[in-house]
Amino acid sequence: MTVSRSINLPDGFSALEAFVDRWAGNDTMERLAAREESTMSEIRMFYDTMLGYAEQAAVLINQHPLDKIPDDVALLCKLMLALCHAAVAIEVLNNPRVATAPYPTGVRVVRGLTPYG
Amino acid sequence: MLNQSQENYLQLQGNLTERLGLSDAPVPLEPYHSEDFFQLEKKQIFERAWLLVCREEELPNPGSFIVKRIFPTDVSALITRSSAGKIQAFYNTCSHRGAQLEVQQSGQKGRFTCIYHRWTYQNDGKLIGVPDEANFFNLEKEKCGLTKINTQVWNGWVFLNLAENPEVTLEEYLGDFKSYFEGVEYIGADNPVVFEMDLDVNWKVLADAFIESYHIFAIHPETLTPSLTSKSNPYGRLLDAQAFGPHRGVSVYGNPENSASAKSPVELLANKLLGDGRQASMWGQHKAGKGESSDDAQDSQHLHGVSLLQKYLSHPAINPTNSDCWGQDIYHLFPHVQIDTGPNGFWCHKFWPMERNKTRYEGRFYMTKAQNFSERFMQEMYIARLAPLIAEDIASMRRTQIGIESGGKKFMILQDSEVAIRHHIEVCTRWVKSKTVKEALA
Repeated sequence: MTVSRSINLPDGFSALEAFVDRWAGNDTMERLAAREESTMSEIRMFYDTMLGYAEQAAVLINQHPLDKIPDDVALLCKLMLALCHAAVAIEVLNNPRVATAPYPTGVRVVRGLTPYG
Repeated sequence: MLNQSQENYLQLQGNLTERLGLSDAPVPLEPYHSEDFFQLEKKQIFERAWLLVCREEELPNPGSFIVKRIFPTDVSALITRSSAGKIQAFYNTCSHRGAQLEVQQSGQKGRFTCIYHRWTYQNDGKLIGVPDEANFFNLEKEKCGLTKINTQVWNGWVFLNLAENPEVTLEEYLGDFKSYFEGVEYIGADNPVVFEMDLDVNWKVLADAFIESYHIFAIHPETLTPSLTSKSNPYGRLLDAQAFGPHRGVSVYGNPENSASAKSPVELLANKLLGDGRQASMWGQHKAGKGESSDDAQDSQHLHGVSLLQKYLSHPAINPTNSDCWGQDIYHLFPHVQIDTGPNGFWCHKFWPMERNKTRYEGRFYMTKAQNFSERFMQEMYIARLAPLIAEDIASMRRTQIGIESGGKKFMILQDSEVAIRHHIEVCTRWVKSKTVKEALA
Protein backbone atom coordinates (compact mmCIF):
# COMPACT_ATOMS: atom_id res chain seq x y z
CA MET A 1 0.00 0.00 0.00
CA THR A 2 1.36 3.39 -0.88
CA VAL A 3 0.11 6.65 0.47
CA SER A 4 1.06 9.76 -1.41
CA ARG A 5 3.14 12.07 0.74
CA SER A 6 3.96 15.69 0.22
CA ILE A 7 7.40 15.23 1.79
CA ASN A 8 10.09 13.00 0.34
CA LEU A 9 13.41 11.94 1.78
CA PRO A 10 16.45 14.18 1.06
CA ASP A 11 18.42 13.69 -2.17
CA GLY A 12 20.50 10.56 -2.16
CA PHE A 13 18.14 8.56 0.07
CA SER A 14 15.36 7.73 -2.37
CA ALA A 15 16.15 4.01 -2.00
CA LEU A 16 14.65 4.27 1.49
CA GLU A 17 11.30 5.69 0.36
CA ALA A 18 9.68 2.26 0.40
CA PHE A 19 10.28 2.03 4.18
CA VAL A 20 8.82 5.38 5.18
CA ASP A 21 5.19 4.35 5.59
CA ARG A 22 5.93 1.60 8.04
CA TRP A 23 9.12 2.70 9.76
CA ALA A 24 9.13 6.52 9.94
CA GLY A 25 6.86 6.55 13.00
CA ASN A 26 6.31 9.84 14.79
CA ASP A 27 7.05 8.53 18.26
CA THR A 28 8.56 5.67 20.22
CA MET A 29 5.27 3.76 20.45
CA GLU A 30 4.89 3.77 16.65
CA ARG A 31 8.46 2.56 16.17
CA LEU A 32 7.95 -0.19 18.75
CA ALA A 33 4.77 -1.27 16.95
CA ALA A 34 6.60 -1.32 13.59
CA ARG A 35 9.10 -3.82 14.99
CA GLU A 36 6.51 -5.90 16.81
CA GLU A 37 4.08 -6.10 13.88
CA SER A 38 6.54 -6.82 11.07
CA THR A 39 7.82 -10.20 9.97
CA MET A 40 11.50 -11.02 10.37
CA SER A 41 12.04 -10.80 6.61
CA GLU A 42 10.45 -7.33 6.53
CA ILE A 43 12.60 -6.23 9.45
CA ARG A 44 15.69 -7.76 7.84
CA MET A 45 15.00 -5.91 4.60
CA PHE A 46 14.71 -2.56 6.39
CA TYR A 47 17.66 -3.23 8.71
CA ASP A 48 20.06 -4.23 5.93
CA THR A 49 19.10 -1.36 3.63
CA MET A 50 19.01 1.28 6.37
CA LEU A 51 22.33 0.20 7.86
CA GLY A 52 23.93 0.75 4.45
CA TYR A 53 22.84 4.40 4.50
CA ALA A 54 23.16 4.98 8.25
CA GLU A 55 26.50 6.78 8.40
CA GLN A 56 25.75 9.23 5.61
CA ALA A 57 22.28 9.79 7.07
CA ALA A 58 23.80 10.59 10.48
CA VAL A 59 26.20 13.08 8.89
CA LEU A 60 23.29 14.89 7.22
CA ILE A 61 21.02 14.90 10.27
CA ASN A 62 23.85 16.07 12.54
CA GLN A 63 24.09 19.26 10.46
CA HIS A 64 20.83 20.43 12.04
CA PRO A 65 20.06 21.36 15.65
CA LEU A 66 17.53 18.90 17.07
CA ASP A 67 14.83 21.55 17.38
CA LYS A 68 15.24 22.80 13.79
CA ILE A 69 15.28 19.70 11.63
CA PRO A 70 13.73 20.36 8.17
CA ASP A 71 10.79 18.11 7.23
CA ASP A 72 12.65 15.94 4.70
CA VAL A 73 15.59 15.39 7.06
CA ALA A 74 13.08 14.65 9.84
CA LEU A 75 11.76 11.69 7.84
CA LEU A 76 15.29 10.37 7.55
CA CYS A 77 15.86 10.98 11.25
CA LYS A 78 12.76 8.95 12.13
CA LEU A 79 13.96 6.08 9.93
CA MET A 80 17.30 6.15 11.75
CA LEU A 81 15.57 5.98 15.12
CA ALA A 82 13.54 3.02 13.83
CA LEU A 83 16.82 1.29 12.94
CA CYS A 84 17.43 0.98 16.71
CA HIS A 85 14.19 -0.97 17.05
CA ALA A 86 14.84 -3.15 14.00
CA ALA A 87 18.25 -3.92 15.51
CA VAL A 88 16.60 -5.34 18.63
CA ALA A 89 14.81 -7.92 16.49
CA ILE A 90 17.85 -8.75 14.33
CA GLU A 91 20.72 -8.45 16.80
CA VAL A 92 19.14 -9.36 20.14
CA LEU A 93 15.86 -11.27 19.99
CA ASN A 94 16.15 -13.04 16.64
CA ASN A 95 12.40 -12.53 16.57
CA PRO A 96 10.10 -9.53 16.00
CA ARG A 97 8.82 -9.77 19.59
CA VAL A 98 9.65 -11.46 22.85
CA ALA A 99 8.44 -14.98 22.05
CA THR A 100 7.38 -15.80 25.61
CA ALA A 101 5.45 -12.57 26.27
CA PRO A 102 1.79 -11.89 25.50
CA TYR A 103 1.06 -9.41 22.73
CA PRO A 104 0.12 -6.62 22.91
CA THR A 105 2.24 -6.14 26.01
CA GLY A 106 0.14 -3.25 27.37
CA VAL A 107 3.24 -1.09 27.85
CA ARG A 108 2.57 2.62 27.21
CA VAL A 109 5.31 5.18 26.61
CA VAL A 110 3.70 8.15 28.34
CA ARG A 111 6.67 10.49 27.98
CA GLY A 112 9.23 10.12 25.23
CA LEU A 113 12.44 11.96 24.52
CA THR A 114 12.71 14.99 22.26
CA PRO A 115 12.52 14.93 19.32
CA TYR A 116 10.11 12.24 18.06
CA GLY A 117 9.62 10.44 21.37
CA MET B 1 43.47 -15.52 38.69
CA LEU B 2 40.82 -13.71 40.67
CA ASN B 3 41.34 -10.08 41.43
CA GLN B 4 40.70 -8.67 44.88
CA SER B 5 37.11 -7.63 44.31
CA GLN B 6 36.24 -11.00 42.76
CA GLU B 7 37.64 -12.70 45.85
CA ASN B 8 35.66 -10.36 48.10
CA TYR B 9 32.60 -11.19 46.08
CA LEU B 10 33.11 -14.94 46.45
CA GLN B 11 33.55 -14.54 50.20
CA LEU B 12 30.18 -12.84 50.39
CA GLN B 13 28.29 -15.77 48.96
CA GLY B 14 25.74 -17.53 51.03
CA ASN B 15 25.52 -15.22 54.00
CA LEU B 16 23.56 -12.13 52.92
CA THR B 17 20.33 -13.46 54.41
CA GLU B 18 22.07 -14.21 57.69
CA ARG B 19 23.84 -10.84 57.71
CA LEU B 20 20.46 -9.09 57.41
CA GLY B 21 19.27 -11.06 60.42
CA LEU B 22 16.66 -12.97 58.44
CA SER B 23 15.70 -16.61 58.74
CA ASP B 24 16.15 -18.95 55.78
CA ALA B 25 12.72 -20.57 56.20
CA PRO B 26 10.15 -20.76 53.38
CA VAL B 27 8.06 -17.57 53.04
CA PRO B 28 4.22 -17.56 53.09
CA LEU B 29 2.48 -16.75 49.78
CA GLU B 30 -0.76 -15.57 51.38
CA PRO B 31 0.24 -11.86 51.24
CA TYR B 32 0.34 -12.15 47.43
CA HIS B 33 -3.29 -13.18 46.95
CA SER B 34 -5.32 -12.55 50.10
CA GLU B 35 -7.94 -9.79 49.92
CA ASP B 36 -7.78 -9.42 53.71
CA PHE B 37 -4.03 -8.91 53.61
CA PHE B 38 -4.42 -6.37 50.79
CA GLN B 39 -6.94 -4.36 52.79
CA LEU B 40 -4.58 -4.38 55.77
CA GLU B 41 -1.70 -3.23 53.57
CA LYS B 42 -3.82 -0.33 52.38
CA LYS B 43 -4.71 0.77 55.90
CA GLN B 44 -1.55 -0.12 57.80
CA ILE B 45 1.10 0.60 55.16
CA PHE B 46 -0.12 2.99 52.47
CA GLU B 47 -2.20 5.18 54.76
CA ARG B 48 0.65 5.48 57.31
CA ALA B 49 3.97 5.40 55.43
CA TRP B 50 5.70 8.30 53.68
CA LEU B 51 5.06 7.57 50.01
CA LEU B 52 7.48 8.70 47.32
CA VAL B 53 5.28 10.12 44.54
CA CYS B 54 7.50 12.10 42.17
CA ARG B 55 10.64 14.16 41.72
CA GLU B 56 10.64 17.93 42.04
CA GLU B 57 11.71 18.20 38.37
CA GLU B 58 8.16 17.08 37.48
CA LEU B 59 7.10 20.46 38.90
CA PRO B 60 9.72 22.61 37.16
CA ASN B 61 8.23 26.09 37.54
CA PRO B 62 6.10 28.14 39.92
CA GLY B 63 2.57 27.21 38.82
CA SER B 64 3.47 23.66 37.71
CA PHE B 65 1.06 21.03 38.95
CA ILE B 66 0.43 17.30 38.67
CA VAL B 67 -2.58 15.25 39.69
CA LYS B 68 -1.74 11.83 41.05
CA ARG B 69 -4.00 9.03 42.21
CA ILE B 70 -2.44 7.58 45.33
CA PHE B 71 -3.27 3.88 44.92
CA PRO B 72 -4.41 1.76 46.72
CA THR B 73 -6.38 4.56 48.40
CA ASP B 74 -9.02 6.67 46.63
CA VAL B 75 -7.00 9.82 47.20
CA SER B 76 -6.45 12.08 44.21
CA ALA B 77 -3.58 14.40 45.09
CA LEU B 78 -3.13 17.80 43.47
CA ILE B 79 0.57 18.54 43.84
CA THR B 80 1.55 22.13 43.09
CA ARG B 81 4.57 24.37 43.05
CA SER B 82 3.27 27.66 44.34
CA SER B 83 4.17 31.08 42.99
CA ALA B 84 6.63 31.24 45.91
CA GLY B 85 8.21 27.98 44.68
CA LYS B 86 6.98 25.69 47.47
CA ILE B 87 5.89 22.15 46.62
CA GLN B 88 2.70 21.10 48.44
CA ALA B 89 0.09 18.41 47.89
CA PHE B 90 -3.64 18.92 48.46
CA TYR B 91 -6.66 16.69 48.21
CA ASN B 92 -7.98 17.38 44.70
CA THR B 93 -11.38 18.21 46.15
CA CYS B 94 -13.32 21.47 46.10
CA SER B 95 -14.31 22.86 49.52
CA HIS B 96 -17.84 23.70 48.37
CA ARG B 97 -19.60 20.40 47.56
CA GLY B 98 -16.61 18.11 47.44
CA ALA B 99 -16.33 17.83 43.68
CA GLN B 100 -13.11 16.85 41.94
CA LEU B 101 -11.24 20.10 41.34
CA GLU B 102 -8.55 19.70 38.65
CA VAL B 103 -9.30 17.27 35.82
CA GLN B 104 -6.04 17.50 33.88
CA GLN B 105 -3.11 15.24 34.79
CA SER B 106 -0.49 17.98 34.73
CA GLY B 107 0.08 21.52 33.57
CA GLN B 108 0.80 25.07 34.54
CA LYS B 109 -1.76 27.13 36.48
CA GLY B 110 -1.68 30.01 38.93
CA ARG B 111 -5.17 29.20 40.12
CA PHE B 112 -7.61 26.30 40.02
CA THR B 113 -11.32 26.75 39.35
CA CYS B 114 -13.88 24.07 40.13
CA ILE B 115 -15.99 23.38 37.05
CA TYR B 116 -19.17 22.87 39.09
CA HIS B 117 -19.75 26.35 40.65
CA ARG B 118 -16.48 28.09 39.79
CA TRP B 119 -14.97 28.32 43.27
CA THR B 120 -11.39 29.40 42.66
CA TYR B 121 -8.18 28.64 44.59
CA GLN B 122 -4.59 29.90 44.37
CA ASN B 123 -1.92 27.26 43.78
CA ASP B 124 -0.98 27.54 47.47
CA GLY B 125 -4.47 26.24 48.31
CA LYS B 126 -6.04 29.53 49.39
CA LEU B 127 -9.69 30.07 48.39
CA ILE B 128 -9.92 33.37 46.54
CA GLY B 129 -13.17 33.34 44.61
CA VAL B 130 -16.77 32.33 45.43
CA PRO B 131 -19.54 33.34 42.98
CA ASP B 132 -22.55 34.90 44.77
CA GLU B 133 -20.64 34.82 48.03
CA ALA B 134 -23.26 37.05 49.73
CA ASN B 135 -25.87 34.31 49.50
CA PHE B 136 -23.86 31.97 51.79
CA PHE B 137 -24.14 32.02 55.59
CA ASN B 138 -21.16 33.63 57.34
CA LEU B 139 -18.74 32.03 54.88
CA GLU B 140 -15.22 32.21 56.33
CA LYS B 141 -13.20 31.95 53.14
CA GLU B 142 -9.83 31.80 54.92
CA LYS B 143 -10.96 28.51 56.52
CA CYS B 144 -12.14 27.03 53.20
CA GLY B 145 -8.86 26.52 51.38
CA LEU B 146 -7.86 23.20 49.87
CA THR B 147 -7.07 20.46 52.40
CA LYS B 148 -3.35 19.82 52.62
CA ILE B 149 -1.69 16.43 52.43
CA ASN B 150 1.52 16.21 54.47
CA THR B 151 4.31 16.85 51.98
CA GLN B 152 8.09 16.68 52.39
CA VAL B 153 10.89 16.98 49.84
CA TRP B 154 14.22 15.22 50.33
CA ASN B 155 17.04 15.46 47.77
CA GLY B 156 14.47 16.28 45.09
CA TRP B 157 12.17 13.35 45.93
CA VAL B 158 8.63 14.39 46.88
CA PHE B 159 6.98 12.31 49.63
CA LEU B 160 3.37 12.40 50.82
CA ASN B 161 1.87 11.02 54.01
CA LEU B 162 -1.88 10.43 54.03
CA ALA B 163 -2.18 10.29 57.82
CA GLU B 164 -3.72 13.45 59.24
CA ASN B 165 -0.92 13.57 61.80
CA PRO B 166 1.97 11.34 60.68
CA GLU B 167 3.43 9.46 63.62
CA VAL B 168 6.98 9.94 62.37
CA THR B 169 8.73 12.61 60.34
CA LEU B 170 10.13 11.81 56.91
CA GLU B 171 13.59 11.98 58.48
CA GLU B 172 12.67 9.32 61.03
CA TYR B 173 11.01 7.26 58.32
CA LEU B 174 14.09 7.31 56.07
CA GLY B 175 16.31 6.52 59.06
CA ASP B 176 19.85 5.45 58.16
CA PHE B 177 19.02 5.50 54.46
CA LYS B 178 18.88 9.31 54.59
CA SER B 179 22.54 9.87 55.43
CA TYR B 180 23.59 6.87 53.34
CA PHE B 181 21.97 8.21 50.14
CA GLU B 182 22.26 11.95 50.88
CA GLY B 183 23.68 13.99 48.02
CA VAL B 184 23.52 11.44 45.18
CA GLU B 185 23.79 13.24 41.85
CA TYR B 186 20.61 12.69 39.81
CA ILE B 187 21.79 12.88 36.21
CA GLY B 188 19.11 13.83 33.69
CA ALA B 189 16.45 14.09 36.39
CA ASP B 190 14.41 16.47 34.23
CA ASN B 191 14.42 14.25 31.15
CA PRO B 192 13.02 10.76 31.68
CA VAL B 193 11.43 8.39 29.23
CA VAL B 194 8.37 7.09 31.09
CA PHE B 195 6.73 3.69 30.68
CA GLU B 196 3.40 2.78 32.26
CA MET B 197 1.31 -0.36 32.33
CA ASP B 198 -1.45 -1.92 34.38
CA LEU B 199 -0.65 -5.51 35.25
CA ASP B 200 -2.84 -8.25 36.68
CA VAL B 201 -0.45 -9.05 39.50
CA ASN B 202 -0.03 -8.21 43.18
CA TRP B 203 2.24 -5.20 43.67
CA LYS B 204 4.81 -7.29 45.54
CA VAL B 205 5.18 -9.67 42.58
CA LEU B 206 6.36 -6.64 40.59
CA ALA B 207 8.63 -5.35 43.34
CA ASP B 208 10.14 -8.82 43.78
CA ALA B 209 10.77 -9.26 40.06
CA PHE B 210 12.77 -6.02 39.86
CA ILE B 211 15.03 -6.67 42.86
CA GLU B 212 16.33 -10.19 42.37
CA SER B 213 19.10 -11.17 39.99
CA TYR B 214 18.53 -14.94 40.07
CA HIS B 215 16.03 -14.85 37.16
CA ILE B 216 18.33 -13.06 34.72
CA PHE B 217 19.96 -16.13 33.17
CA ALA B 218 16.56 -17.75 32.69
CA ILE B 219 14.23 -15.10 31.25
CA HIS B 220 16.66 -12.52 29.85
CA PRO B 221 19.05 -14.80 27.92
CA GLU B 222 19.68 -12.38 25.06
CA THR B 223 18.93 -9.04 26.70
CA LEU B 224 20.62 -9.00 30.12
CA THR B 225 22.52 -12.23 30.64
CA PRO B 226 25.66 -11.07 28.79
CA SER B 227 26.02 -7.97 30.96
CA LEU B 228 24.84 -9.18 34.40
CA THR B 229 26.25 -12.72 34.51
CA SER B 230 29.54 -14.34 33.50
CA LYS B 231 31.26 -17.71 33.43
CA SER B 232 32.49 -17.10 36.98
CA ASN B 233 29.04 -15.92 38.16
CA PRO B 234 26.49 -17.62 35.86
CA TYR B 235 23.52 -17.03 38.15
CA GLY B 236 24.18 -13.37 38.87
CA ARG B 237 24.78 -13.80 42.58
CA LEU B 238 24.62 -10.49 44.43
CA LEU B 239 27.64 -8.47 45.45
CA ASP B 240 25.95 -7.13 48.55
CA ALA B 241 22.69 -6.52 50.39
CA GLN B 242 21.88 -4.01 53.09
CA ALA B 243 18.85 -3.16 55.19
CA PHE B 244 18.00 0.37 56.35
CA GLY B 245 15.01 -0.04 58.64
CA PRO B 246 12.07 -0.81 56.31
CA HIS B 247 14.18 0.02 53.23
CA ARG B 248 16.83 -2.10 51.55
CA GLY B 249 19.47 -2.13 48.85
CA VAL B 250 21.24 -4.77 46.81
CA SER B 251 24.31 -4.41 44.65
CA VAL B 252 24.14 -6.48 41.48
CA TYR B 253 27.06 -8.17 39.74
CA GLY B 254 28.12 -6.93 36.30
CA ASN B 255 30.26 -8.73 33.77
CA PRO B 256 33.38 -6.57 33.28
CA GLU B 257 34.18 -8.35 30.01
CA ASN B 258 30.87 -7.46 28.39
CA SER B 259 31.07 -3.66 28.38
CA ALA B 260 34.43 -3.66 26.64
CA SER B 261 33.32 -5.03 23.29
CA ALA B 262 30.22 -4.14 21.39
CA LYS B 263 29.26 -6.74 18.81
CA SER B 264 26.06 -5.22 17.49
CA PRO B 265 26.52 -3.25 14.24
CA VAL B 266 24.06 -0.59 15.42
CA GLU B 267 25.83 -0.24 18.77
CA LEU B 268 29.17 0.05 16.95
CA LEU B 269 27.62 2.74 14.78
CA ALA B 270 26.35 4.59 17.87
CA ASN B 271 29.86 4.46 19.38
CA LYS B 272 31.38 5.76 16.17
CA LEU B 273 28.89 8.63 15.91
CA LEU B 274 29.73 9.74 19.44
CA GLY B 275 33.41 9.99 18.55
CA ASP B 276 36.70 9.48 20.35
CA GLY B 277 36.76 8.14 23.85
CA ARG B 278 33.01 7.96 24.14
CA GLN B 279 31.28 4.67 24.32
CA ALA B 280 27.62 4.17 23.78
CA SER B 281 26.08 1.87 26.29
CA MET B 282 23.01 -0.03 27.20
CA TRP B 283 22.17 2.74 29.59
CA GLY B 284 21.96 5.44 27.00
CA GLN B 285 24.55 7.87 28.19
CA HIS B 286 28.17 8.17 27.27
CA LYS B 287 30.78 6.83 29.58
CA ALA B 288 33.86 8.74 30.57
CA GLY B 289 36.28 7.40 28.00
CA LYS B 290 39.76 6.33 28.94
CA GLY B 291 42.41 8.49 27.28
CA GLU B 292 40.18 11.38 26.32
CA SER B 293 41.51 13.13 23.25
CA SER B 294 42.39 16.80 23.51
CA ASP B 295 39.60 17.60 21.04
CA ASP B 296 37.17 16.69 23.76
CA ALA B 297 38.41 19.61 25.82
CA GLN B 298 36.54 21.86 23.39
CA ASP B 299 33.35 20.04 24.04
CA SER B 300 32.26 21.67 27.25
CA GLN B 301 28.88 19.94 27.30
CA HIS B 302 30.64 16.61 27.14
CA LEU B 303 33.13 17.54 29.86
CA HIS B 304 30.31 18.77 32.06
CA GLY B 305 28.56 15.44 31.57
CA VAL B 306 31.72 13.51 32.40
CA SER B 307 32.34 15.47 35.59
CA LEU B 308 28.73 15.00 36.72
CA LEU B 309 29.06 11.28 36.05
CA GLN B 310 32.30 11.10 38.00
CA LYS B 311 30.69 12.92 40.91
CA TYR B 312 27.74 10.52 40.80
CA LEU B 313 29.95 7.44 40.64
CA SER B 314 32.16 8.64 43.50
CA HIS B 315 29.22 8.65 45.93
CA PRO B 316 29.71 5.80 48.44
CA ALA B 317 26.16 4.50 47.86
CA ILE B 318 26.89 3.87 44.18
CA ASN B 319 28.70 0.53 43.78
CA PRO B 320 28.99 0.31 47.59
CA THR B 321 31.46 -2.59 47.60
CA ASN B 322 33.65 -0.73 45.11
CA SER B 323 33.70 -3.80 42.90
CA ASP B 324 35.30 -4.10 39.48
CA CYS B 325 32.46 -6.49 38.68
CA TRP B 326 29.62 -4.10 39.38
CA GLY B 327 26.43 -4.02 37.33
CA GLN B 328 24.02 -1.80 39.23
CA ASP B 329 22.42 -1.17 42.61
CA ILE B 330 18.75 -1.39 43.48
CA TYR B 331 17.47 0.61 46.45
CA HIS B 332 13.95 -0.21 47.55
CA LEU B 333 12.28 2.63 49.43
CA PHE B 334 9.48 1.04 51.38
CA PRO B 335 6.81 0.47 50.41
CA HIS B 336 6.51 0.85 46.63
CA VAL B 337 9.49 2.53 44.96
CA GLN B 338 12.84 1.30 43.74
CA ILE B 339 15.64 3.64 42.76
CA ASP B 340 18.19 1.88 40.59
CA THR B 341 21.70 3.23 40.13
CA GLY B 342 23.85 2.03 37.25
CA PRO B 343 27.19 2.96 35.68
CA ASN B 344 25.62 5.80 33.65
CA GLY B 345 22.88 7.16 35.85
CA PHE B 346 19.69 6.23 37.62
CA TRP B 347 16.17 5.01 36.95
CA CYS B 348 13.13 4.46 39.08
CA HIS B 349 10.30 1.91 39.33
CA LYS B 350 7.01 2.58 41.13
CA PHE B 351 4.47 -0.12 41.96
CA TRP B 352 1.05 1.33 42.75
CA PRO B 353 -1.30 -1.34 44.15
CA MET B 354 -4.74 -0.93 42.54
CA GLU B 355 -6.32 -4.17 43.72
CA ARG B 356 -5.00 -7.29 45.39
CA ASN B 357 -4.02 -8.62 41.95
CA LYS B 358 -3.75 -5.44 39.90
CA THR B 359 -0.85 -2.98 39.88
CA ARG B 360 0.03 0.17 37.99
CA TYR B 361 3.69 0.15 37.03
CA GLU B 362 5.49 3.41 36.35
CA GLY B 363 9.08 3.22 35.11
CA ARG B 364 11.16 6.38 34.69
CA PHE B 365 14.51 6.11 32.95
CA TYR B 366 16.47 9.33 33.18
CA MET B 367 18.79 10.62 30.46
CA THR B 368 20.51 13.93 29.89
CA LYS B 369 18.91 15.95 27.10
CA ALA B 370 20.45 15.04 23.76
CA GLN B 371 22.58 17.84 22.32
CA ASN B 372 22.69 16.42 18.81
CA PHE B 373 21.38 13.60 16.67
CA SER B 374 24.21 11.22 17.62
CA GLU B 375 23.25 11.42 21.29
CA ARG B 376 19.56 11.09 20.45
CA PHE B 377 20.32 7.98 18.38
CA MET B 378 22.09 6.34 21.31
CA GLN B 379 19.16 7.11 23.60
CA GLU B 380 16.74 5.50 21.16
CA MET B 381 18.96 2.43 21.11
CA TYR B 382 18.63 2.28 24.88
CA ILE B 383 14.84 2.69 24.78
CA ALA B 384 14.54 0.10 22.01
CA ARG B 385 16.44 -2.41 24.16
CA LEU B 386 14.44 -1.62 27.28
CA ALA B 387 11.10 -2.50 25.69
CA PRO B 388 11.70 -6.26 25.27
CA LEU B 389 13.25 -6.43 28.73
CA ILE B 390 10.02 -5.12 30.21
CA ALA B 391 8.00 -7.53 28.04
CA GLU B 392 10.06 -10.47 29.34
CA ASP B 393 9.42 -9.41 32.92
CA ILE B 394 5.67 -8.88 32.31
CA ALA B 395 5.28 -12.44 31.10
CA SER B 396 7.07 -13.92 34.12
CA MET B 397 5.18 -11.80 36.62
CA ARG B 398 1.84 -12.77 35.16
CA ARG B 399 2.75 -16.47 35.32
CA THR B 400 3.77 -15.96 38.95
CA GLN B 401 0.41 -14.47 39.96
CA ILE B 402 -1.56 -17.13 38.06
CA GLY B 403 0.45 -19.86 39.76
CA ILE B 404 0.06 -18.37 43.23
CA GLU B 405 -3.70 -17.92 42.81
CA SER B 406 -4.08 -21.44 41.51
CA GLY B 407 -3.17 -22.53 45.03
CA GLY B 408 -1.51 -25.72 46.13
CA LYS B 409 1.55 -23.86 47.35
CA LYS B 410 1.41 -22.02 50.65
CA PHE B 411 5.08 -21.03 50.72
CA MET B 412 7.84 -19.91 48.40
CA ILE B 413 11.43 -21.06 48.74
CA LEU B 414 13.97 -18.24 48.48
CA GLN B 415 17.72 -18.41 47.94
CA ASP B 416 20.37 -15.97 49.14
CA SER B 417 20.24 -13.67 46.08
CA GLU B 418 16.51 -13.26 46.74
CA VAL B 419 17.21 -11.78 50.16
CA ALA B 420 15.54 -8.45 49.34
CA ILE B 421 12.23 -10.21 48.67
CA ARG B 422 12.46 -11.88 52.06
CA HIS B 423 13.22 -8.59 53.78
CA HIS B 424 10.38 -6.77 52.01
CA ILE B 425 7.72 -9.33 52.87
CA GLU B 426 8.91 -9.42 56.46
CA VAL B 427 8.63 -5.62 56.70
CA CYS B 428 5.17 -5.63 55.05
CA THR B 429 3.97 -8.23 57.54
CA ARG B 430 5.39 -6.27 60.46
CA TRP B 431 3.64 -3.05 59.33
CA VAL B 432 0.37 -4.89 58.82
CA LYS B 433 0.55 -6.26 62.38
CA SER B 434 1.91 -3.19 64.17
CA LYS B 435 -0.47 -0.92 66.05
CA THR B 436 1.78 2.09 65.58
CA VAL B 437 4.32 3.19 62.99
CA LYS B 438 6.93 3.57 65.75
CA GLU B 439 6.39 -0.09 66.60
CA ALA B 440 6.67 -1.06 62.91
CA LEU B 441 9.94 0.86 62.61
CA ALA B 442 11.43 -0.43 65.87
